[in-house]
Amino acid sequence: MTLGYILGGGISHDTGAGAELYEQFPVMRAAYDEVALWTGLTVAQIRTDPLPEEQEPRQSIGSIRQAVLALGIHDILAEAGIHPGAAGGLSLGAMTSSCLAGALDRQTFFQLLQYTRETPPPAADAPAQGLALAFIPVDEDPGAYYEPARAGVYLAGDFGLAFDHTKQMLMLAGYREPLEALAAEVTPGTVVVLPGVTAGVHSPLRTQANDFMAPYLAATDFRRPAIPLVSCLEERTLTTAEEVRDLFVRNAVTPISMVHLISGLAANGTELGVVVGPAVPEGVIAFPFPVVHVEKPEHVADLTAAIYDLGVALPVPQGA
Amino acid sequence: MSAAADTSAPADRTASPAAGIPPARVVPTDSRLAGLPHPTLTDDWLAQDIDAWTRRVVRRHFDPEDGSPYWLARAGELPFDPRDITRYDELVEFDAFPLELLRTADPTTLVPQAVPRPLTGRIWESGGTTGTPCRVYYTEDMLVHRGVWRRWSFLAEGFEPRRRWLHAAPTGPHLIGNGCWEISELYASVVYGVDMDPRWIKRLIRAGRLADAGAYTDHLLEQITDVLTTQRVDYLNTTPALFQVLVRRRPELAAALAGVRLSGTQISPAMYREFAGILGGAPCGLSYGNTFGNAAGLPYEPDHDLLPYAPNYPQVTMAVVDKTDWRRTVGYGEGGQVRLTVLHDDLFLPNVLERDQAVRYDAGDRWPSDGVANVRPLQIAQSAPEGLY
Repeated sequence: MTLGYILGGGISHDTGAGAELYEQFPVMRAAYDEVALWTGLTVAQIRTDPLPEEQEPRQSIGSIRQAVLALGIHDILAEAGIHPGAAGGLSLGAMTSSCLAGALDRQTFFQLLQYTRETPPPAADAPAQGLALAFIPVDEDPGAYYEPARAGVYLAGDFGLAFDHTKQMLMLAGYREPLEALAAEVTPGTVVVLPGVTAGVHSPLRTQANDFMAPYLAATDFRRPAIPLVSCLEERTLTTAEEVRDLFVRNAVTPISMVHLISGLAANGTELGVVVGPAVPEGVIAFPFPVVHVEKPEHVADLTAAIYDLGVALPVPQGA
Repeated sequence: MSAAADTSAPADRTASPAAGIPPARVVPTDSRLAGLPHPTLTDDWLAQDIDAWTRRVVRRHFDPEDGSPYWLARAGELPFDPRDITRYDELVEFDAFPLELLRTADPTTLVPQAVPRPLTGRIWESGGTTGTPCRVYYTEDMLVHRGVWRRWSFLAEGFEPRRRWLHAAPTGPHLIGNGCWEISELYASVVYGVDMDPRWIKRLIRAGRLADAGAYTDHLLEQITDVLTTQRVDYLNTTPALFQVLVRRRPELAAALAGVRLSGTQISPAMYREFAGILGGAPCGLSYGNTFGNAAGLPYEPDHDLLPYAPNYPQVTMAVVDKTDWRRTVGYGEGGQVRLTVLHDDLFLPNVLERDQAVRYDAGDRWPSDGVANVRPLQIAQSAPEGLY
């Protein structure tokens, strides 16, 4: 039996996320202090200040906020002797789990996230972009919701079937206008345009930003993951430094898949999943193994109990 | 009285004896029960109409002369007259039962005065997972009810009477310990015992002392293997967690058993498949529940990877409800918090919000009420679907 860590995607707008953990665990506060040192941001900017208005700085600090929270939770669990036997994530979570698996060191990772703020902003007259989540009845063709059937809307993610198996859950990226038109056209609640998200990630709309980061990523030092690292871009376990680099290079313009992530973790022996941080909602995804969410102090004991009850063998620490 | 909509209400599919509809039965009265006490009780219970049963129990507890002291005292505070309740659905009017009361109050005050005083018997305690334990008094009828349902499980799962068991589970104040009596007296068997202290294990786990919990587990395993290697034992009754350790450390002893019954800690479908595999077709029975009420395991459903349970109807019913609105029962196949309702003649506990979550299970024609499946400890975490990204 293996413990599999699952890290969600998206940037954190929540200024209160992880506050109780931060207050209770010195090891988490130390993680924030380190990231502040490496990035030149203050801990308040990372944790609690409102995100900047400009798109790329907003994306950059939001990513740092989400990533340090996940790694801080990892550190809390590590202090309790709990270490993953496999890991993977979606989008930003894919990159953070690479760091957690030892495929790049923390300073390199956070400085990379900090550098993304240098991405040239979209042209002033460029149409606004956005993201939406789609909850499509299982008997409907999801292809009707995005290109080529739907101009200006792209498939950006596949979260698989909902827990009750009645809906297909997709993420759509696109220009805001056609996304909102789609949301208005279908049954209310079927397509939910995400507020505050201004980048059409995991679609061709991020090609320019992706190209900007390519030289930086080419010069970044990646290493072989120390534990099985599961990709969210295809059904694959990443075992070399170059495979991890390839994940980083293609992440922003390639649709993500929770289906690939889950099947990869299961294939690597995961029989208890740990959702690290508040980025994957509880009770929404149909996981094939029990899952414990860790986003509050009491969840650490929940996880410890599950490890004991389910007889999960804890691996020796590797990676981050 | 306005009843909140509650689709968990079992009445719709419940056969009413008065209507002449055959009752739901999974195990008809069995020849293996010949000579054993109470052979037909479960058939009688499954035939009950839940609304009629609700009226019977509520009126007994609120009877001005013979009701239970606790509920009679509460009656004056309620914004409705409980004697007006006619349907199971209407029990949500009572609000969630305050479990804190069971930590401090005299448990005999929940027993109707119709039960002759002075009361004699045992006070049973909950595991005490979250704070001090809850206490309840069980009358003899309640103990028989629990035991007879457990025996129903033995029959359904393929355990034979007049065999030899090892009961490696909590005893002392824990009701599961009464299983020794249930096995020996209601199933004509011989029972060996190994005692375990669940509160100590939980305390170690919650303190993050996994190494110490492991040492205590070793201590229990030594006692279990001593009995299994020196005595003739057919069946083992223990927790999934302890059986898992036995399977890992002494697989030959686990495989040699003629059957295993498991309850008390969470079990995943993957664990069940592993256990069933090592038992090679011998019964691997499951129960879910606690001091207040229990549910019998139904057969594993591999197509949906479900471990379903059916409550000890009609005295025990279970609903799976929205974690943020315990009055709203979720749809079949959806997950939520387990809400337990206890309708014993001698104990009335409406709307107990369990520290467990489960999938709402439709037992179809096999059971007159909802079931629960894939039960595990309750987690309250961010749950808005929009949080997917």
